Amino acid sequence: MSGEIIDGYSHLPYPYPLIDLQPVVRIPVAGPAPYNTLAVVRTVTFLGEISYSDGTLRHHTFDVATALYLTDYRPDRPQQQQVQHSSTGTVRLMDVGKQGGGNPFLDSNTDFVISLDSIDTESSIDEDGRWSVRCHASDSYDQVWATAQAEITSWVLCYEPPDARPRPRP
Amino acid sequence: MDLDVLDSGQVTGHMVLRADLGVLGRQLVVLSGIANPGWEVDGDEVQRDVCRVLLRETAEQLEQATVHVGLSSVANEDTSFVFATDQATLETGPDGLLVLVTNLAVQGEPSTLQGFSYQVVLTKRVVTTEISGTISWPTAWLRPPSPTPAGISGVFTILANLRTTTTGPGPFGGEIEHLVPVTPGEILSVTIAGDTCHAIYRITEPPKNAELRVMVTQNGLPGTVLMASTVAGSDIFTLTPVFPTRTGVDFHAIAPRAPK
Repeated sequence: MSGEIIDGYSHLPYPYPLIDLQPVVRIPVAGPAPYNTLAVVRTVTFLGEISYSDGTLRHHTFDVATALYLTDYRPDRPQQQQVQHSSTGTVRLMDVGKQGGGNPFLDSNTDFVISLDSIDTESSIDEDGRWSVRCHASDSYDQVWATAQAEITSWVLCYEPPDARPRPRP
Repeated sequence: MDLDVLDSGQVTGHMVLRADLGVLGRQLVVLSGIANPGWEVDGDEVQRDVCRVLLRETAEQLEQATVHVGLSSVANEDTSFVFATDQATLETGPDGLLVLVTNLAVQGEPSTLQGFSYQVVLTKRVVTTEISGTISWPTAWLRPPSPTPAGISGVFTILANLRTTTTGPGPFGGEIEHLVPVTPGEILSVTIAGDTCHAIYRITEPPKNAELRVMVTQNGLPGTVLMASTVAGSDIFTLTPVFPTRTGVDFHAIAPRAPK
């Protein structure tokens, strides 16, 4: 998706920031076992590609890599092989067509569907301890360059060794 | 426009997270998801409606709550449009369950506000057992700088102790009391009156089915002052599943010798 994002960016009316990295807030908690940390994580993601569309409704399923890296993550540590989360997502940017004249919320010449449909309860942790959440989205635009972004807000119960320190964000 | 988190066609991805904050039985609860009113309008005037989402979460023991909502799914056909989640509040239904109430606005020819996201963060205090009472002392001995728990921070130590007794040696050995501290208490509020100050305290989740003795000690009043149970013997009792709480376990300050 990243190549299409860069290619399509110059076609869009609104030159929005591509990156907004928010720090992770960690709160010590007493449980439920085995969890000892409650993390608050905000993540910005595209809802589909930046593309010149043909009016069809497209569905997307994608994993959103977040800024949460489990501290001192080890694949052989059972407590770190699962997390619990409560997440939701909000459309925070819609950028539809040249006709908008640079105003991302002005659209008088096209149809659109922008939808973050759902976020899965199941999530994943990669080999570096980075937590990802799976999203389902839909979009439809008609003969315009367009894209949308959502902000995912997650509260995550996880286990991190008490003496370990969070690693610097890459 | 009523939706229920138990209906996956009305609400998708409803997730409930519960974290034990480890402080006096407090629990943080996060309820998240995407509500799908599927509201379609066809007109050039802004239309408004209220969407109620039944969260299936009891309002019992609720302390604090904050609500976030935002657009998650919108569609429009070639016209000017308005999509809005204007205001959101948390209400308690007649059945004692929490309801998320959101004011929506839509305009377009046509427009559809298919879904909006929500996240409710709240704290609860899950109490199984509790002891409470009042601590009183003459204002002349200590006037707190403010009528708040912070105003007497560090002055009083409140403890529930496990109490056992043994018989002393010899025919007149009497009863020897053994106390083991188990659960600390906290000051909830402070009142500064003309002659007397009062502090209301609470001990959350002391053990059941064991004899307890509540003790209050002070470190801020004149040194010889002791904190004594207002009604002799009322500081010793046993909490049970049938009677898990005890109120009115009051203490007052006494001076064996007049403080200088």
